Amino acid sequence: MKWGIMAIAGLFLGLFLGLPLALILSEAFGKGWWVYAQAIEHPDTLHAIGLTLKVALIAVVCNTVFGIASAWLLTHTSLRAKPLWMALIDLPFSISPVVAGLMFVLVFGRSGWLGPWLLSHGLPVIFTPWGIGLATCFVTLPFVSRELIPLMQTQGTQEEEAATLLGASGWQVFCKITLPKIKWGVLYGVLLAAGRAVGEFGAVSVVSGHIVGKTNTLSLHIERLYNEYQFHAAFSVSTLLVGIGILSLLVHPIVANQHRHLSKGKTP
Amino acid sequence: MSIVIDGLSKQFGSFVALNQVSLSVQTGEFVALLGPSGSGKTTLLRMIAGLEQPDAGRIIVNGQDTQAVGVAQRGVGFVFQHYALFRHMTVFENVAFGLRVKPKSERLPAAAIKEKVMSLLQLVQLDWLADRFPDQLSGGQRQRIALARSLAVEPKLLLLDEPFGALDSTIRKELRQWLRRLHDQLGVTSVFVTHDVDEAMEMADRVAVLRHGIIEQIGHPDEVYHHPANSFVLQFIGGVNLFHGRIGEHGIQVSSPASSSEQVTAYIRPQSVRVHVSANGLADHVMATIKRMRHDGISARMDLVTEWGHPFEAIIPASQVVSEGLKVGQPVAVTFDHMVVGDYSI
Repeated sequence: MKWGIMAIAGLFLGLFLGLPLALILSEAFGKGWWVYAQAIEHPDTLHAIGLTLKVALIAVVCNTVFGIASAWLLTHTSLRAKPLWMALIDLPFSISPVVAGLMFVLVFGRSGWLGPWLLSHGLPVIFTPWGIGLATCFVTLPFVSRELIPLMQTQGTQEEEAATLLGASGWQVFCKITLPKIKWGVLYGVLLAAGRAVGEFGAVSVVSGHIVGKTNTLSLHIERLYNEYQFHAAFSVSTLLVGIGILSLLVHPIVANQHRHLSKGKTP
Repeated sequence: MSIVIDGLSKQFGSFVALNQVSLSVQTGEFVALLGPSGSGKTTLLRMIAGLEQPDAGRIIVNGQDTQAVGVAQRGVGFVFQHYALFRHMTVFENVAFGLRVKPKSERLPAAAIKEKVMSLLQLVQLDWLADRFPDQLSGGQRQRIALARSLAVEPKLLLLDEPFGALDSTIRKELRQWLRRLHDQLGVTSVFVTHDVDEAMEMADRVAVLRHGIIEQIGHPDEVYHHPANSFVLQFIGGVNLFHGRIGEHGIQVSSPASSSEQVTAYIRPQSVRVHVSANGLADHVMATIKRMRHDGISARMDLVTEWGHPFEAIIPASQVVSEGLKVGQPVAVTFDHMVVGDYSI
């Protein structure tokens, strides 16, 4: 019985996770280090790496600031629009990334609502890195705040009240009490958001225009290589995303552990 | 620092937390707000601190209306029920917090802050824990650190919300006496909230008994105990037995259900019930049977029932149970030391 279930689970894991991973690695390194290195060192690839990291960084910074602010508002004030706010935060989770991308095209595109005006001020959005940043921000918006809202709810506001009673100003309370209290939750949300930002395909694909060396992120670059029958190159570049994935897998347990530890504990 | 609370009201939705509460606290006094949960005592305390805004009424501290004074400017020391220590700071940093957040012009130099914090930690006898984090402390230690932290800013008024609520009973009794001595030593005006009658009676100069957002009675512990203002206070403070009786020649005659029109109700505290093995030599007494007994080493609580089937409770010294060999099911004679007669229905 136990062995049977283990066999089923093991087979499933091997088939859907182990095999593809092995395939990526064997294809990437199948023709030796030289081919692998060439694929990675190609200027288009290097540009894609740079663009992906830049976009991910912007998205994560924006959403961390937004996430902390919205979680604070929802847990430390008596806002009337709370349910609406929560639903809006969840929106990027519930609509398809492709639809999100199209939405941005409709708003910022050449014939969109804001597009022509922005264009006349020399700020094209669609088919530029700006558009990619915007789309990535949208799809990663929920991560930090979704992490923080339950955390801050369980932690309560007594420590903040205590600090205020001891004479601390609003900003002192925020910087010296609230931020340190939630830092592991923030880090956890950042990690999740960064992972998603780096790997995002759908929304970015719609707004980027796939201009090689300009608006191609790593995921888009892999797709292009694959479509051009450069299988080895495609798999070589894929290893980068796999590497980021494995790295975050290694960091996750540490952060998650601290995070859980904090959200569990009541006020000491 | 004296406090005058005048007609304070507060409502949360449809729940009335406080209803026209008035109370005054003299400088240096130690006042207990006593009541069951939901009586509004914590709301009242939080309002004095400025953590809650009243719907109506005023709080006047030292002759000045506090309405316009911000929480941070009130100079109030507050000890939370669950301590609310800053979990990411050491004990030392916790106590130093109030001194370190002061604007630069008022802030003490680092060395003076250190000296002051250490002297406060000595005051609460925990200077050896300065480098620990709150989650490494026991409940009683956290409690004392929370107190030291609130005293650091030299509050003119100290507010304590169920200060011993989260501690076990031994430590609670120990800390009670310690806190009372500390209060006498510092002389800071203090108000504390509790639902524990013994705690309020033992520690406070005056006790305010609250129910449903109203102060039912305020006075010295003895006064509240011996002259309760109404049946709620009577029953809440120390429990009480109800007997029906008639006014006879020799005072009240408590007996089987009286049919006479002169029927009265007698309230008798369990502590006022005397239990005797035999009725010999007793003039007025009631015969009863012991139904249940519980010891705690010092006293014994027993449930008894009279000949005519009326249940009541007695608290007697545990030593008597041992010396007289009292047992469940045993018939005993009962007399009453003290009873309150009157109509306390409200």
